[in-house]
Amino acid sequence: MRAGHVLSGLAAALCIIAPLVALALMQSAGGSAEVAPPWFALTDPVLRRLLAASTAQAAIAGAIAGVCGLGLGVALATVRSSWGRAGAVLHMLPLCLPPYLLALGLVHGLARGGPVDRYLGSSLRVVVDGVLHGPGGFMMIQVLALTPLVTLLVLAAVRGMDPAPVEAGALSRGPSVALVRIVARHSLPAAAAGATLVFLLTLGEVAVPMLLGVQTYAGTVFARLADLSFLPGEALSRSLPMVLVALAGTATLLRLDRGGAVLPSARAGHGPAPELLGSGAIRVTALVTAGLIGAAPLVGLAWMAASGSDPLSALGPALESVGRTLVYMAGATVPLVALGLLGGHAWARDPAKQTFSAGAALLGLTLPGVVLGIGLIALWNRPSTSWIYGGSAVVVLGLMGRYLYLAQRAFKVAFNAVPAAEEEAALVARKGVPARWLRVTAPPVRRATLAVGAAVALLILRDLDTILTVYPPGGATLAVRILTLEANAPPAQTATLALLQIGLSALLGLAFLAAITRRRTA
Amino acid sequence: MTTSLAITGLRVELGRHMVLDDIGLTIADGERVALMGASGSGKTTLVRTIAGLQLAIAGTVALGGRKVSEGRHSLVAPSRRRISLVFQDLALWPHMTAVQHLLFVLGGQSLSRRKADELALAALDDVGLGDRAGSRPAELSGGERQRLALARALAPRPELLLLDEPFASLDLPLKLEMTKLLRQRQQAGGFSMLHVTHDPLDALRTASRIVLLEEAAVVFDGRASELIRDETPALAPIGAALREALEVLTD
Amino acid sequence: MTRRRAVLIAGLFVVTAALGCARAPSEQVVVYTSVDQVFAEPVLLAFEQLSGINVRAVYDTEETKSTGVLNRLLAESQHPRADVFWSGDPIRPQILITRGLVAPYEPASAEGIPAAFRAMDGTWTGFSARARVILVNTELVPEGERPDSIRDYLEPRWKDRTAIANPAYGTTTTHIAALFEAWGDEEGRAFLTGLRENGVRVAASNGEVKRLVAAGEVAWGVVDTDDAAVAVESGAPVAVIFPDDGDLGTLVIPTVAVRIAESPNPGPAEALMDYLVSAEVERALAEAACRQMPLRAGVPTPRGVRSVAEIDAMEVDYPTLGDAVERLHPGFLAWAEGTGGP
Repeated sequence: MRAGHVLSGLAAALCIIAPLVALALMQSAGGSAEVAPPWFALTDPVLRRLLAASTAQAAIAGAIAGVCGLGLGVALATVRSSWGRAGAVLHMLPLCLPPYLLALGLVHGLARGGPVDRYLGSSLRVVVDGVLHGPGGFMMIQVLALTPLVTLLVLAAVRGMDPAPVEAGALSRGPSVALVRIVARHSLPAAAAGATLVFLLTLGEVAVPMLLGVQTYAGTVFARLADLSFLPGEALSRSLPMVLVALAGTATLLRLDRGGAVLPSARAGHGPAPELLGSGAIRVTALVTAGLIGAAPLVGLAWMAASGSDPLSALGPALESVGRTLVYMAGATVPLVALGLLGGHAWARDPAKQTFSAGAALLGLTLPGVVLGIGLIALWNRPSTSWIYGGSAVVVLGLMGRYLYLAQRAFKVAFNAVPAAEEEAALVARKGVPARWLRVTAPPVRRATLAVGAAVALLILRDLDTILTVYPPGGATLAVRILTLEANAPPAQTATLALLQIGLSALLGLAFLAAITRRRTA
Repeated sequence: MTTSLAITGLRVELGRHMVLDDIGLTIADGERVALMGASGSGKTTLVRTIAGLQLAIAGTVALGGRKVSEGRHSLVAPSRRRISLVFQDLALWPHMTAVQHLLFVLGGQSLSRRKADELALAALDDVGLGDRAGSRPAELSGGERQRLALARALAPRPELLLLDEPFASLDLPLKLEMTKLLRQRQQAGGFSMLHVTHDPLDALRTASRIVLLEEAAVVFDGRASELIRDETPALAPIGAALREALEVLTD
Repeated sequence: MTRRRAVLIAGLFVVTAALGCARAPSEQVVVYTSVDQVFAEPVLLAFEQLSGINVRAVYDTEETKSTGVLNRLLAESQHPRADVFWSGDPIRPQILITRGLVAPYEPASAEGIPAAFRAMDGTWTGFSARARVILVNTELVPEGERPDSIRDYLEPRWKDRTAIANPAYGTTTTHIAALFEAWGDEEGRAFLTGLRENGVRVAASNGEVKRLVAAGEVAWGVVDTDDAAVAVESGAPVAVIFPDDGDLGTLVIPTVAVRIAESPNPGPAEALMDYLVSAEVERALAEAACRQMPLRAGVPTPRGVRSVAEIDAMEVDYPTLGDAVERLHPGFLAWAEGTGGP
């Protein structure tokens, strides 16, 4: 058993299993309600239908995101066009916001007096608004919010491929055939992996369907710990069928991992030369279109901000929450990257021994954040652990539990592309684990480390579900502040803060790009 | 004569398959042995077990008179066994330059920076890579990468050098060049050598003794000339191959 | 990235995180509130400036978007972190009182609050109320045709044209439970069934109902007075009707402050409670965008804001109503999820 297995197992136990056990042991405050057994959701016809519908919605969102992300990722990797790049940037922006803010932007953009009403007419507005407030709207928001994830994975896969097969295909059959049957085909595992992640994240989404009035299975779990309900045992019990569905989705991910690298390693090729694959007019058009669609909710938010009086007055009081956001981000990103690196490496080299921690980490990703949050309270709210519960540490633990799976999986995929023989050569040649790790094991995944760090930081920046339940009094993040102010605050102020959130994420993205580019030119 | 390597009763399983069954092998100090056998006969597994990269289920492995593994237990870490291994695909570190490879393997010894630099550059000179010290593996030719792998293996002055078919993919001129270099370094360094190969030419050029593995067991252990003359049906094919290789060499 | 730079950045992260874990100053009060942050925050900031006591707050969100601070209070009940719970309604504090999580405290500044809105034993004190009102779109519904009763939800002429917030959450739970108490369970169940049959759109929150009415998606819906005030203030084509005047009456929902038992900062907790239930805060909340209704007579209010004394309020015993909510809520949840009813 490697140290990585042990450490990631301990992290999963501490951040996920222990809180869930504490939750299960917690006394229910709702006196008369009995805890239904886990299979209740599968025997009750209404819940069964709801679980099936929610699973179908998540699968459809994943499939659409997968297809769109595949096309857009291939397009972005194979064109040299400023328009294309601009479209891609706009396409990525929704990833910077909690999905419910995107929904809010669309809702307000479609509101009476909003841009759609003013420039495109009320009848269109009413029709689209009707679609928005239903399952179609929920799936659309999830696709909008999460397709950029797929795009990025496909982009990395194409950029990392050996150009020789593409060149051979383009010379013999032409660029279009090469693009579809070689480049896109090569990127299928990355797209499928992204689609599965979209599926998992959509299955557990709570805020968006509630805003849009769509009933979901995750919503019923959430309702057991919402407002007047305090049924932690039942919440946990109801979560389990969701976890089973998620496990099935994850089995798919694991099969895909066997194929090869989904994230770039140091062994990455440089991808096919864009000039080989034609002018790319269609690809550029697709990117620009995706950018315009991605910008739509942001236009709604900007419209909201510009329509009200004194929107900038929201910024001053929000500065403290920005600071807190950065504290939690820093506090959680470092251990997540470290655990991801160690755990992902152990997972790649000895998959069988990672079953427990990967499975537990998957629970952390799939369960609604409130379930884990109440569990954290149950576990850490004691006099002896005030130093954990009373401050940022409990938030960091919650974030670690939430995103551990993503960090470890990303590194697992990266290490899959690095031959184990290189590490064995170091094992034979040099004593000292730190020296071997720092100089042989870690360097090949340097770019992946930057990518995982940036991705985790971005996810934390926009996190709501995890932080909302456990943040210390006075310690709300910007995302939480936007959510709590949204009730009856002037829409212009809410929108301004949402745009600030995007700005922070964009800064993070720029810093990441600068680091990646610098490494390439170094 | 002191013993560099002594293996007794070694059994290794991979999955449920017995890859090595009751293997015994002794290599004296300074001796050069070729380990031959068909694909799947257990050659690489034996080398990895000696190196400590694979655990056995029974038997002992002793290096330089010191037990390094017994049964399922590794008693000495791979990096402390005073062995070096040249991998089949070389396993060079793509992010390190040639001299950084050598400095890394020398880093485990208590050497001053200046001394380490000196030894590293000398090791590169020994294999004819003195002027490529700042190059990364991607910038080296196939032969240069082979030399670098060899220099990396020899820099820590091992007592036993293990080679796992490092020349398998080389063309004949390069193979001859590398086997010559290997022999020269072995004579200079005086280390023992266990060279896994399926090529009779390599075996004849680098080794004074041949061990033949077949179906998880040692079926021959002796000089090449004995194997050439052995008329046992099971050994006849390899004997014939050695004869042909000898003709190539003498030509 | 060089190793030194990586170590420096990692070190910055660690230091930043450590700073985040630093303990807060000792003179502080922790308040959990389900009053909308946009209205509660200025009140708490004013208290901070007046008293010099640092206020650390946890705010709730619109009903359906969070666990609610109530759940955090229940989850933390073994070792309370909050000193004061400032609730947007009188029901949630009853749940805490029933579980013995509240320490009685009668603020000195509570003089003038009518007896119906505070506990004699000091466990809870109400102030500054909202009411459940009908918000109607004036462009869709001319003046003579407007609804004036909660029962109008079941009128055939309003089929598929109205909205109500999810009865499983927030003030709507309180309102429906109050109807059950007033009418009896059978009629209450019939009302809920009638809502479904008459195509009443179930929105995620009062704010969503407000938006639907303002946008003309529905003709009218029941919301709280603060939601209605925001809609009026924003210039939407809406009017506010206090329902069942002269009949059942309009449900008044006071905000309530309770002191949490065994809280970490008892002295500052009492200071905050004294401040919250004062006439000064009632006036401030009446003047704020929420336009909350003072419970005290004689508190100056802006034009258009009534005090509770000026409306036909529903007769309610809030502790009893709290018990009713606890009893009925699982059924409301099942009704909302389509798996049953109360």
